[in-house]
Amino acid sequence: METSVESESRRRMVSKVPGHVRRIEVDVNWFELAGIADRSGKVASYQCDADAGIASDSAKSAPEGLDDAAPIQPVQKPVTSLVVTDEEGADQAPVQAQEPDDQESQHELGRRLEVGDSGADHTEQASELKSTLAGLLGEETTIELDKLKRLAWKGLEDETRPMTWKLLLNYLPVNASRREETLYMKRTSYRHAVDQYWKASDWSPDEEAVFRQISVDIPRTCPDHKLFHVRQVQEILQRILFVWALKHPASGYVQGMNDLVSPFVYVFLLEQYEAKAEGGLLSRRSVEDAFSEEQLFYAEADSYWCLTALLETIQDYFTFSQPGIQKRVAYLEDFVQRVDPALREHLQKENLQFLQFSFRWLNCLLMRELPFELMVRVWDTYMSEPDGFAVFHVYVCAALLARFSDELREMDFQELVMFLQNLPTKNWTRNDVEMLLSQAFMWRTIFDDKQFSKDLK
Amino acid sequence: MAGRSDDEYDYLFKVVLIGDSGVGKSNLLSRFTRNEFSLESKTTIGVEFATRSIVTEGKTIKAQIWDTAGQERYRAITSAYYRGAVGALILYDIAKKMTFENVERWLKELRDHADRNIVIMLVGNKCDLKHIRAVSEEEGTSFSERNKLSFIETSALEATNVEDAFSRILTEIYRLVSQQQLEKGGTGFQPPAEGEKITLKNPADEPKKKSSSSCCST
Ligand SMILES: Nc1nc2c(ncn2[C@@H]2O[C@H](COP(=O)(O)OP(=O)(O)O)[C@@H](O)[C@H]2O)c(=O)[nH]1
Ligand SMILES: [Mg+2]
Repeated sequence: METSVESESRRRMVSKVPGHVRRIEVDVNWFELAGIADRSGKVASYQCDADAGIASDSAKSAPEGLDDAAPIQPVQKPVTSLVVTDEEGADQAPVQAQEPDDQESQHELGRRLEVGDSGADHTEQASELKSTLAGLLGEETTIELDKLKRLAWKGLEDETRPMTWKLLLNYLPVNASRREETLYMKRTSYRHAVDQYWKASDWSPDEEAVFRQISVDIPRTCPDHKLFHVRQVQEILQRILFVWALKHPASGYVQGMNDLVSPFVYVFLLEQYEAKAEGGLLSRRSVEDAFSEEQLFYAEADSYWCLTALLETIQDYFTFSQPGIQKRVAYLEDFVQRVDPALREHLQKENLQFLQFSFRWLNCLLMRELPFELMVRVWDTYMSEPDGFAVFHVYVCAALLARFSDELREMDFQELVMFLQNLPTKNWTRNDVEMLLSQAFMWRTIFDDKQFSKDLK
Repeated sequence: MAGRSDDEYDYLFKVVLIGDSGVGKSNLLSRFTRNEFSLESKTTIGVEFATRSIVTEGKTIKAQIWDTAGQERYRAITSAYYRGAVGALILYDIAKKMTFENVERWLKELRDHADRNIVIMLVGNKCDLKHIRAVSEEEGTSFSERNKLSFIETSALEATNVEDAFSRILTEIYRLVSQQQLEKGGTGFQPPAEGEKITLKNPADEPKKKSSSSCCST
């Protein structure tokens, strides 16, 4: 046991101070990264295999002569056999739903969003969605953002996510001809920011303190995910957060921002990885093998700008005393009183303050409460919603709480705290979160533009 | 989760952990309550707690130990954190001088927000890191003597003195409380917030929870 702890400790990234670098190498199997990526896209790829008449098992057995420790992952998911471009399908997406004026239409809304009972329906829908999306992203002139939002609301796949996120966050322009130039300019500007802030030779004591705090948090960021144990990846997180903090002194670095940057780094590293993966995926076992310096930098710069765009929509979450969070916690409580009064009364009776458990839900945008890959899926919807992170998210929090209402109402104060600080969501599937999203959507649609959520904007 | 037997106790004490970010508060807590340690535990956001019962001087004491983030930013919303706390562990990292220098600030924070009779213990954590020690044991001792705190060095990693730290502070609290009961009131602790169940329970006033309720579960 001692030895395993010791080797663990060797893997720990030790603080880096300019001109004084202590580094510890981490070896990571990049197949595992690919494996993680593949799992989230399973539905679509399984369907494709079946269509092509390939037994799904055959894809998993390793051909002779290859390292048997490395399972082959079907990274490239064939879509050619499924060219369906159904615009109608896209139009049925929920975002532009009409005002529901009676109970009936509210139910209708809920039904339309519900993931179909039959798995077949779902896979068909998923692959259809994917190809429509692929068609849309491949558009050579201008992408219709509304259409993209309607599709992305239902959840993206690994292939379509990076570009869609960049578009939805307004990092990439919808106009195809301007994209390359924009990317170049943004990345260059980030490079300059790194030179200016990160590589500066003389940090002020305040800047030193920011650096120290970030450094303490980096090894504690998404520790369940192997990717974030990699030294180069940790340095990427560290630079992004440091540069962001120095450029935004009104909030600076606040613990929890490390959780918020991780989905971007994951999604954009995967993008770079897939770009290079064509031909010879199997030999890439080290970071240096998997990515060129340039690719790592691209993923970093893209993550920086997307994080910046996200944080811009929730600025008051992180300014002094975090008023944005406090306001939303209060709203959440009021809202739960409306939709689940018995639960609110029980929590009140047990003297559990909403702030106690939902502070983290807001501060980390649920990254701590649900599995990482599912949160990436949830964010697809957040980015497709108007005010996804600032308003819709609060309804998702309410849906999450309501989901456990029956259990919660049986618990006393202590049980409540313990339960809520460690929700039993480890085995949740995409279906589970999609149910939450439908519920939240229904509520958002019903209550939106009413006085309630108005002041959240 | 928590077994029913966990709910039989004579006293329930709320104890808070404070100290700079990264000194090992969360790991000290998980080592004491679950015998777990992790080099890559997540940063604490907001407030959390865990419980464990110990027996001291024939009494079962249930400790409800609260953990929070060390970053300054959060302090505005964690002042409720101190309400009803009867004990506090101020942690520093023996390998990081600055975390020791900040102990003064944490003491002030306690004076501003916590009950004035709160029992405080200074804890120099990570004492396994001997090779990079930056704060000597003597420095810790003399600081605590000057400020009338008890003092111990621990390692959450190697499980050194973790039991000791908690049982010493809990025993100290228990003695103080039973002494106050003898004196019948006087300068006792402020009663904590209603319903939070973190009261200094007098077993005479409030019957302890019965394990009989376990007949309904399994
Ligand atoms: N060597 C050593 N490392 C520790 C010890 N306690 C905690 N750590 C490590 O210090 C880091 C911060 O610990 P954590 O419990 O999250 O600190 P907190 O911010 O005070 O809650 C983690 O990487 C822990 O694994 C200890 O006793 N010895
Ligand atoms: Mg902690």
